[in-house]
This record gives sequence, C-alpha cells and structure tokens, in this order.
Amino acid sequence: MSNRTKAFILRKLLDPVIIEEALKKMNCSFIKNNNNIIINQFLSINIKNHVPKLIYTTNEFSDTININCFISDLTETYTKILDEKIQKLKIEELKMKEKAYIEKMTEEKEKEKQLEIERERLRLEAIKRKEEADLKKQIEEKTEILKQKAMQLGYQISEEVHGKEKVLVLIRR
Amino acid sequence: MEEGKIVIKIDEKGEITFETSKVKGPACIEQMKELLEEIAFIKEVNKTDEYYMKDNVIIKDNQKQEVKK
Repeated sequence: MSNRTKAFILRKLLDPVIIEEALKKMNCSFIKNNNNIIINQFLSINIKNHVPKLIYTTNEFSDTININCFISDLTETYTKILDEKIQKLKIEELKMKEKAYIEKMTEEKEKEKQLEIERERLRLEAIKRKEEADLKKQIEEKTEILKQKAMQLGYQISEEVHGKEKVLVLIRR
Repeated sequence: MEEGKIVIKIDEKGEITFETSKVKGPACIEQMKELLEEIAFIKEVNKTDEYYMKDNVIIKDNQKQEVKK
C-alpha cells in the first residue's frame, strides 16, 4: 500500500497583527481576550512577550476540518501576507530611494546652475570693468587729441572738472 | 574780443556736449566737425539762433543784442 502524505513542520508565527489579518482573510471569527486570540474551544493563540504561541489540545478543530489543516492554512495565509507586506515595503523603499536620488540630482543640478549663473555674472562684470577702464583711457586720449586740435586752430583752452564731468572751454580771439 | 567760444563737456560715459557761441552760420558746424573728427561720432546737431545769423551780425557778450555794421 502506498500513499502520498502532505505534512508540515510547525513554524512559529511571530507577528500577532499578521495572524489576525490572516484569520480575517480566512473568514475565521475570533475573540481577542487579553493576550489571547481565541478561535474556538480547540484552538487559541496566546501572546506572551509579543510572541504568539498556538495552544491546542486535540486534533479536532471543527466537524469538517482537522486542526492540522487549519494551522497549515493559517500558516500559508500568514506567510502570504508577510511576503506581500515585505514586497510592498521593498517597493516603497525603492520609490523612496528613487525620489531621494531624483531630489539629490535636482539639487546638484540646481547648484550647478547657480554656479553657472554666478560664473556668467562674474565674467560679465569683468567685461564691464574692462570696458569702463578702456573708455576712461579713451576719454583721456581723445581729450588730449581734442586739445591739440583746438590749439592748432588757435583756441586758448581752459580745462575744469565738475564732478565726473570734464569741461573744456575753447576761446579764440 | 572773442571770435568764438566753444564749451565741450565730456562725461564719464564718454558723452560729449559741444556748444559753440559767437560763431555764426555754418562755420560753427564746420568747426565742430573739424574738432570732433576721428574723436567722436556725432549723434545729434541742434542749431541755435546764431547759426542762422549772417556774418555781419555781432553778438556782444551773450547779451543777444544785435548790432548792425
């Protein structure tokens, strides 16, 4: 006689919240009483120091189901919920990392842009300084040429400075 | 006696104001062009009353008094 047996090693289900979620998903009603989750007279879960422990005395569970089958289903549902939660958190974590990466890149781009603007401003300010110095030199040179020309044309020249303005008075008698 | 007077103002931006007095007729423009040639670009010329006066009109010390010879 041969048989095909399915069995399982009882694993600890360590998260009471997920146990409750699993029971709800299995449409299994239960009562929470202090540190106990009472499923029926044959099975309850005692939570001591945050660690749940299955308490059962017989193999019975109900008229139609064996307690081992119930625990197997509970374990399976619990594991599935646990995996889903882990997966969901992994995705959330990846999204957060991606967001942080984008923010970092944006921040770096902003910094780079800011530096670029500053560099451009400094470049233009240097150009302006150079142009102003050149203009000042030009004014001096052109004023001298103008005075020379005026002298050649027989003008007497007097020069005054009024603030930032140069005044040449040319008189011919 | 003054034959002509020119006041040239040059500011820090290189703007030049060129004002002639006691120089009558087109001569004042010619004088201005000669002086400013290769020095500055002429942007605007506003002719005063003196520009339209004939050579036989003399103006005494800016008093705008016309004396006919």
